[in-house]
Amino acid sequence: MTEREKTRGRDGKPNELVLALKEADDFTRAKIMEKLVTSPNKAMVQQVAGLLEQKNTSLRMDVVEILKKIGNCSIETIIQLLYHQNEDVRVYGCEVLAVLKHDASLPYLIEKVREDNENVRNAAIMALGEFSDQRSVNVLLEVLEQEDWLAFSAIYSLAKIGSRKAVPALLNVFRNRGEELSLAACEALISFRDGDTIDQIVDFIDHLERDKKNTFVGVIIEQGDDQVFQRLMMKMGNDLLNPLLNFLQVEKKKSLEASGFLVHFKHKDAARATLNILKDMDPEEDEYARVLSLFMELKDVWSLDLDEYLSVDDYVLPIVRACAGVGCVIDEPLLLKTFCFSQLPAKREIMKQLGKISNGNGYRVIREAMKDSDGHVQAEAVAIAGTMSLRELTGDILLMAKKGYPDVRIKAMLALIRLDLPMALAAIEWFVTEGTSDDKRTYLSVTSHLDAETNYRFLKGLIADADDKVRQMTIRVIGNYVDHEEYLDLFREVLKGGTIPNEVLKVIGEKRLTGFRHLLLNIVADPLQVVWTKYYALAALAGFADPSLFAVFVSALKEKNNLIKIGALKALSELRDKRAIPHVRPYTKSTDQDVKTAALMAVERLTQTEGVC
Amino acid sequence: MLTGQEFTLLKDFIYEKTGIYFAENKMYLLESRLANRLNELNLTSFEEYYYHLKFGGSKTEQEITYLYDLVTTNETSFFRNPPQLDAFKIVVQKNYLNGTRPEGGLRMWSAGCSTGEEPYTLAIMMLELLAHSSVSMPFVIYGTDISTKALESAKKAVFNNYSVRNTDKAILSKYFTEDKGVYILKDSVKKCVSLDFLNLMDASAYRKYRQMDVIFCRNVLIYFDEKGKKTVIDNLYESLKPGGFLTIGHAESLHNISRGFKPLIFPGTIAYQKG
Amino acid sequence: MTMKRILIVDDSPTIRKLVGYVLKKKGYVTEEAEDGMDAMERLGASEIDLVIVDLNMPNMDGISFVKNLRNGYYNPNLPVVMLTTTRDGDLREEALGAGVNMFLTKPIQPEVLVDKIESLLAGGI
Repeated sequence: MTEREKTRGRDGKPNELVLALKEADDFTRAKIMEKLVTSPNKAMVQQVAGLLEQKNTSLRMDVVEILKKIGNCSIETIIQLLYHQNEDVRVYGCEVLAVLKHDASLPYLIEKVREDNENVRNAAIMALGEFSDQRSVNVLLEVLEQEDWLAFSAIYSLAKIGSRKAVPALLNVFRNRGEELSLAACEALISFRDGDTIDQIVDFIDHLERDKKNTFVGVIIEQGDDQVFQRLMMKMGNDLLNPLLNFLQVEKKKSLEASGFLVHFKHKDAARATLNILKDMDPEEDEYARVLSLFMELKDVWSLDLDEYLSVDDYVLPIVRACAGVGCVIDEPLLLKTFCFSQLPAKREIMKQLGKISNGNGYRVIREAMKDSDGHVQAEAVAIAGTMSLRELTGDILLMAKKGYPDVRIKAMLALIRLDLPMALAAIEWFVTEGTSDDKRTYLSVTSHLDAETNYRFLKGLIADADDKVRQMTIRVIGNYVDHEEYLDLFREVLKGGTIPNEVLKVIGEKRLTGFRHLLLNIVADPLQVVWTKYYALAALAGFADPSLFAVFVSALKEKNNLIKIGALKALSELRDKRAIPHVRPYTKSTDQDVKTAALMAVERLTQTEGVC
Repeated sequence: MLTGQEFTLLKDFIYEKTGIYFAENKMYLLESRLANRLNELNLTSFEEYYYHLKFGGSKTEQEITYLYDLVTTNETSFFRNPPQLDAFKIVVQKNYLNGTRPEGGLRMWSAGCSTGEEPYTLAIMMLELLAHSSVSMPFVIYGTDISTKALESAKKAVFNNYSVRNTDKAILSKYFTEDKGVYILKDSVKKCVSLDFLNLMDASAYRKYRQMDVIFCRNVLIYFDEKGKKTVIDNLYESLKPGGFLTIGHAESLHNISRGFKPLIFPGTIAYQKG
Repeated sequence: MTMKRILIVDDSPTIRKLVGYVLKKKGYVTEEAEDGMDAMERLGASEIDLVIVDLNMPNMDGISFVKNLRNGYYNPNLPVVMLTTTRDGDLREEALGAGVNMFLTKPIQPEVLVDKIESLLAGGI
C-alpha cells in the first residue's frame, strides 16, 4: 500500500483531519485529536490505523491513543492488527484491545499468547488481564511454566482476573521460583483476600532470612492490606516496626497509605514517624484528620514526653491538635514557652485549642497572645479571656475594644460586657456619642448581647446617623425588636423612609405581628416595589398561617419574576391548602431549575397534607 | 448548617461563575468560609444566600467579588520555594541578560499574585540581578488576582514578620523600611510592579497580557478541576512569546494538561518553555 | 556509599515493577514514571543517577524525552538507557543520535541489564 492509500478509508476519500495529523507539531496534534474523537466512524479508524508504521514516534503514540478512544467503531480493524507483519504493530494491537475490552477480541488475544514473538506474547498476556474473563485462565496458567518475564506478566493478569483456580499454581511459584516471581506471586495471592492463603504466605515469609523477609514485608505494606499486616504482626511482633519505618522513609510518596500500620506499634519511633508524615501535610485537608486520629491512638506513647516533641517547630501544630482531641493537658510554663517560639499557624492552633489543653486558665498565654501582631491570635485570646472571666485582663481588653482590627474589637467588646458591664456601657456611650463610624459599628455588632432596654437609648441616637452603613446596621438591629412597645416610635421613623428593611419583614413574619398585615399586602400588590422586599413580605405573610391569604399567594404566583414565584410557591406550600395543587403543578415543568425544585417540593408537601381547608 | 443540597447549589453556581471547583470533601470548608458572610448580610440560611446570588441582579456582581475573597486563600510569602526562584535566576541570566535582550524590555506576569509577595519578590530579584550586571535591561512585572481584598493589601505593600520570614537580612534592609514590627516595601520596588484584577477563567481578560517572556502561576491551579486547569494553561500558552517560560506550583504538573510546553529540569524543580 | 537512584520510565506498570524488583535486589533505589512528561517532572524533584526509558509511550515518548533532557539546563549528561520492544534500525539510530547512551531491546536477561547499567554508572560504555 502506498502512503496515500493507507490514509484513505474504504470509500477512498482521505479524512482531512487525519492527514493533518501527520504534519502537525505536538500542540496542534493534541488539538486535532480532541476533534477526531468527538465524531468517530469506521473509515476514520481504518485511516488512523494506517499511520501505525510512521517513523515519527510521537505521532505513532498519538495514533495509538486515538485508536484506544475510537477503536470500537471498527473492532475488526483493530483485531486485524494482531496479524500484521510488523511485530511492533501487533504489539500496538494488543495494547489497544486491552483498553477497548471488546468481547469479540478475547479469543484472538488468547491465540496471540502462543505466537512466536515474545514481545507480542507479553502484550497479549497483559491485555488478557484487563478482560477479567475466566476463559483466559488456562492459557495464562500455561505461561507460568514458561520464560520468567512472561510468567511475571501472567501472574498479574491472573490476579486481575481473580479466579481462585489459579491459587495452587501461584502458591507454587511463590514458594519455588526466583525472587521477582515470588514477590509478584505474593502480591497476587494477597489480592485474593483468602484467610487460609494468607496464613500460608505469612508462615513462609516468617522463615526467610532478614533481608529477604524485609523485601516481602515491603510488598505487603505497599499493598496496604491491614488484615495481612496484622496476621504478620502476630508472628513477627515488634520486629515488623523497622521494615515499616524503613519503607516510610524510602517511599515517601506512599507513606500516607502505610501510615495506618503505625498505630499497631505502641512505640516512640512510630509516634515520631506519624508526626513526620503530618508535618508535610495541609492541616485543613480531610486526610490530615485521619492521620491525626491515628496519632491520637498512640497517646500513651507520646503524652509523657511533650516537652521533647514540642521543641520541634513542625510538630507543635499536630501535637496541640491531638492533645485537644484526647483531652491531654499541657503545663502552663511549657505551653507559654512553646507559644512564644512558635510560627504563626502553630500559634493560632494553640489559641483555638487553649480551652482544652490548658492546665489552669491559661492566663499567661492569653496575656501574651493579646499582644501578638496577628489578628486571629488576638481575637481568640480576647474571646477566651472573656469566657474564662479573667478579670485581671479587663484593662487590656478595654484598650483592645477601643482600637485595632474590627473583628478583634468586637470580640474584645463581647468579653468586656461579660467581665465588667458598667465599663462596657461607658465605652459604648462614648462610641455612640463621640466616636467614629468604626466605633459605632463595633457597638452595633454586639447589640444581641445586651437587652432591649439597654440598647434603646443607644439605637435612638444612631437612627439618623450621617454614615450610610451605620444607619443600615441600626435599622437591621431595630428590626429584631419590632415587638417591643418602646420601639414602636423608632419604627415609625424607619417606615417613614420608604423602603422597608428586610430584617423588619422577617421579624414580622417570625413573630406573627398581624398588626402589619395591611402594610405587607400593600407591598405585595405594589408593582413598583423592589423584588426582594416583595419576597420577604410574602414570606412574612406565609408566617401568619392565615387561610384567607390563599388568593393573594395564587395571584403572586403569576408575577413574571422568578424569585417572587418561588416566594409564592413556598407560601402556598406552608399554607397547606390542597386547593393550591392545580395552581402549583404547571411550575413543576419550569425551565428555571430553582422554580421547578420549589414547585416539586410544594406539590409533595401539599399532597401529604391531610384533609382540606 | 449547610445541607448537602445547598452545598450542591452553591458549588455549582461558584463553578459556573468563577471556574473555582469545590470537590465533595470540601463541604465543611465552604461552610466555614461563607458563614461569616451570611452573618454580615443577616441571612439565616445558605439557601437564602444562594437566592441572593442568583436573583441579586446588579448586586450579584458585587457579591461575587466578596466570594472571590472568601474562597481563595493564598499561603504566600517572600522568596517562597527557593529552587523555583533559582531556576528563574538562571533563565533570566542565561537567556536574557547574557543572551537576546527582548525589545521593549522583559515582560513578566505573576498570575494569581494574592497579597503581592510573589511579584515583589521577582522585582527584587531583577533589581539585584541588574545591579550585578554590566548590562541594562528594562523590565515590567504584572501582578493579577481575583481577590480585590488581596489586591488592595498588595498595593499597600506593608508586610508582617511572617511574610518576610525567608528573606535575607541584607535584602530586607535594602528594600524594606521597618516600622514597629511591620515591613514597608520601598517605592523603588513598588514602581516595578503593576497590579490589577483578573479572572483567569475569563478568556477576554487575557488581551491585556500578551507577549510575555515569563509567567509565574503557582497557587492557582489547585482551585480548578482538570477542565479548568486546561483552560487556564491554554490561555497562558497564548499569552507567552514563543520560547517564553512558565513556572507553576511545585506540587502541580502539566502532565495530561498540556502538550505545548517543553519541560526544563533544574535542581529541585521544573520549569516549562513554550514550544 | 550512598545508594544510586534509578528512574524507570515505562507506560506498562508490570514492566516497571519487574525492572524495579531486579534493581532493588541489587541495592538500587528506584523511582517510577509512566511517560516522558512524568519522568521530566520527577527529575526536577529528585536526585537521579540513571534513567531507564521505554521508547513507545504517550504524552512524551522516549526520544523526545532524551532530546529535552540533553538540551536542558540541568544534568544534561545524565546516563540514559533505552529499553524497548522495537528492533527497528532507524529508530535505534535516531535514539542514539538524540543522546541515548545505550539501546537495549526487550526481552532482556536481568543479569545483562544490571551489567550494562553498572558499566554505565561506572563511567564507561
